[in-house]
Amino acid sequence: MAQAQMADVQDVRVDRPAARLSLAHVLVAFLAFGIAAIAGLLQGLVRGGVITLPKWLNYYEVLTAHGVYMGLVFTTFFIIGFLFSGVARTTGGSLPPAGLRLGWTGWWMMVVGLVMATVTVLTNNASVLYTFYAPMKASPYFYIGTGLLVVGSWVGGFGIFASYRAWKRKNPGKLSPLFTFMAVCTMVLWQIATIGVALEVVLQLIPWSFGWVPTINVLLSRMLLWYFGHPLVYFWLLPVYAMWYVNIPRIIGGKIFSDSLARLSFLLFIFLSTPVGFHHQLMDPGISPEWKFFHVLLTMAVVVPSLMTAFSMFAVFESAGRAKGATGLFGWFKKLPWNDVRFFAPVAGMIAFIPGGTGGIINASYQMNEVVHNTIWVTGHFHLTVGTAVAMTFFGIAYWLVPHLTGRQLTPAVNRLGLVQAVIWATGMLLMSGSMHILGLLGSPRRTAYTTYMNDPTALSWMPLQGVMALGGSLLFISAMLMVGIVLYLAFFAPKGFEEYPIGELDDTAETTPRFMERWSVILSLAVFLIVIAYAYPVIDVIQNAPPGSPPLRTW
Amino acid sequence: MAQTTAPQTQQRHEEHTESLRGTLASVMILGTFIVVCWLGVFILFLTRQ
Amino acid sequence: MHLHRYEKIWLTVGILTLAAFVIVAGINAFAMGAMPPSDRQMIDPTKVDQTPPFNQPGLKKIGPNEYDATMTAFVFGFAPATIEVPVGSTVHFRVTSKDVVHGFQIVGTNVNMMVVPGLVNTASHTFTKPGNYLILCNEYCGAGHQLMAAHVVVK
Ligand code: HEM
Ligand SMILES: [Cu+2]
Ligand SMILES: [Cu+2]
Repeated sequence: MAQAQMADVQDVRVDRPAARLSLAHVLVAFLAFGIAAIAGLLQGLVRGGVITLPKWLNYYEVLTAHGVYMGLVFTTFFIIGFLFSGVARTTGGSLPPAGLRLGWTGWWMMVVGLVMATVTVLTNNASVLYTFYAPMKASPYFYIGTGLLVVGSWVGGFGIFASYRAWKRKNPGKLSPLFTFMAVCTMVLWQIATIGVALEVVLQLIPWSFGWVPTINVLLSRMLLWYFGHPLVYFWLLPVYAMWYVNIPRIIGGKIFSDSLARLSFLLFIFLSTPVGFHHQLMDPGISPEWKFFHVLLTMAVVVPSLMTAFSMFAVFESAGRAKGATGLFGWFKKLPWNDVRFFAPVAGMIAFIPGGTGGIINASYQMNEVVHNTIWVTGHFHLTVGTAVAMTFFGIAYWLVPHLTGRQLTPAVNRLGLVQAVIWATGMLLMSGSMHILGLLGSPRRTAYTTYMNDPTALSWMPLQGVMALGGSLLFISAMLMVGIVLYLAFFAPKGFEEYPIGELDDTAETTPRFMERWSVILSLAVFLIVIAYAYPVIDVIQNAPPGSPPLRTW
Repeated sequence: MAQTTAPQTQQRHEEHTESLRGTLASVMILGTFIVVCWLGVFILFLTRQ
Repeated sequence: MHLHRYEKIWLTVGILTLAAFVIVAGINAFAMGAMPPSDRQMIDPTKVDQTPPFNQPGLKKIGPNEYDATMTAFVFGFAPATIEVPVGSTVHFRVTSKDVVHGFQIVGTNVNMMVVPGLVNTASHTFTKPGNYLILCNEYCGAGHQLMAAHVVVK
């Protein structure tokens, strides 16, 4: 298939077995998304003072469900499903048997883990939020469940590696398809990142929550969690960048700007996204200010591949617009297919990523973190990044991916409904995230149920904006329900037909990509080297000079 | 998937320079936005010291 | 690998800007003393009530216009719950937790730090304006987290 004629390339279809695997992931993702959206609505309404939860429902139980379902389940399932489909699509339409087998094994492990975590959360035995900071102790089965979710995602990742290897074997000496390369990079980054949380869960949380050891080294557990926490956000972002680099050019009738630069940016993410975790611990005791500053420095470096991506995106848009006859400095802007939801939703996400990324730079700016740390500004920030840039790109993908996988079509009517859905989401987020940013600068904390701190005048002055937040959250909820309905329609009821899986093509004049980009031994060694530099000393120090341990506590 | 073709770097170079003015302008606007926001919060930080 | 001329310009400008952010923040922190709270003193979280100075949380005058505020954080409050200082006072807050992780944020100031069991964390602030400042816990710590607050009264 790799030798197929250009014209035929867009007709390649993900075959039945691969499509079923991908669809199974995507459907669980949207199921989780729908449930989490209900939780999100409740949070918004509670904080806005619109409703009070019944006695039997704890705000933090709801918030744990929202964080776990949105941040861990929706994202991970969607990403693995999408990557499998794209790997199949760009390597000839099918997955090798090993890829399918590992893919399904991973799916089942993740589903079992998900059920375990769900039961513990719903019985209020794990209201510890999705970051599960010790020494608050959840039921051991919550940790085992989330652990299974992670290990299942590894197995899924091995399925992607196996598919990549199979393609390489069939096409010796050839450069891998760009999408497949990006899928492999994403899962490599995920493997490296999740080692931290796996160590925390297996070596610390599980033995301690069962009572086999009396106390836990809290500082170490935080370091291991945040070793994972930052690359986690890049695990969300890389499939989105893959969509922007590879699928968007085809949707707008343009070409991929540069194959080699796209690959380079993904490699930079592998190198730089992990050795930066202390930027989440800038306000923590027990870590020296010099080490914190070093991580801040590396954090600024990981902004660079995003700067490259921003340039590439504008360049793709401008080139496509000019090829259609646009003139002037910004004439190309009007030539873009604004009424195509496959384009509109992801681009609305890109626009949200501008303030989202900016907020990230501010958060990471060392002592400036004091202004925003653990205020609801942070929640506003990541609802722009993961909640809009990532989520809206996933929506945009679902509009063609789901019908492609089920042999149905995105009809013009659904396209129009999709535009409405995307506009409501963007508006809701503007209101919710905007008010969260302002509230945060004023000092309002995140992860906090409705409170006026016994009628403290400062806290009372936040209330009007909390109301705006609740309004935004309600719009988001409406949009989320529309989205879930549309996904179900596209999966089971839309008219049969062929929906294209858009894969961008390279400019004829593009240059060859250097081969060192697929020397994985070199790439991994460099990544490990940077991690060792950034983490070895602080981690050994916190183990050898451990602060006195903490016994488990249940405070809810 | 389109793979690789002979590099015609020279020609490509000229072609794109002319047509990417809007891209340069856009990213510069983006950069300005980042700097303005960062300075805003930094000033807030200084006034609260 | 070929970089477009405009992309070179953009990346140069971008990298220089990021470098400027780091340098400005670095100078402000390391040379001008605005360091993030990073105390490294340890304490047994189960014996906070027996460990000086936390066995007697409170305010202590240590110089003209200068105070040490020794505080404990616990589910769901701070001790002491109110502190009173004259305008212009510099207060050094020294806080530790008796149970889970808490936050310590004084609204309207840059005092914002994590209070992690097993460790002490410190931050200082000079109160130049009178008022009733709200101290709140900004890290989820349990069912009553939203009630966890204290006040600094500046007269
Ligand atoms: C229906 C749409 C949504 C609504 C109404 C909503 C609302 C909220 C609210 C109000 C909070 C803050 C609660 C607090 O700190 O007290 C929150 C937290 C959060 N949201 Fe959303 N959100 C939505 C969609 C999303 C999406 C799409 C994602 C990510 C994919 C997401 C991820 C998170 C995470 C990770 C948290 C943090 C939980 C924690 O602090 O432990 N949300 N959401
Ligand atoms: Cu981060
Ligand atoms: Cu609290």
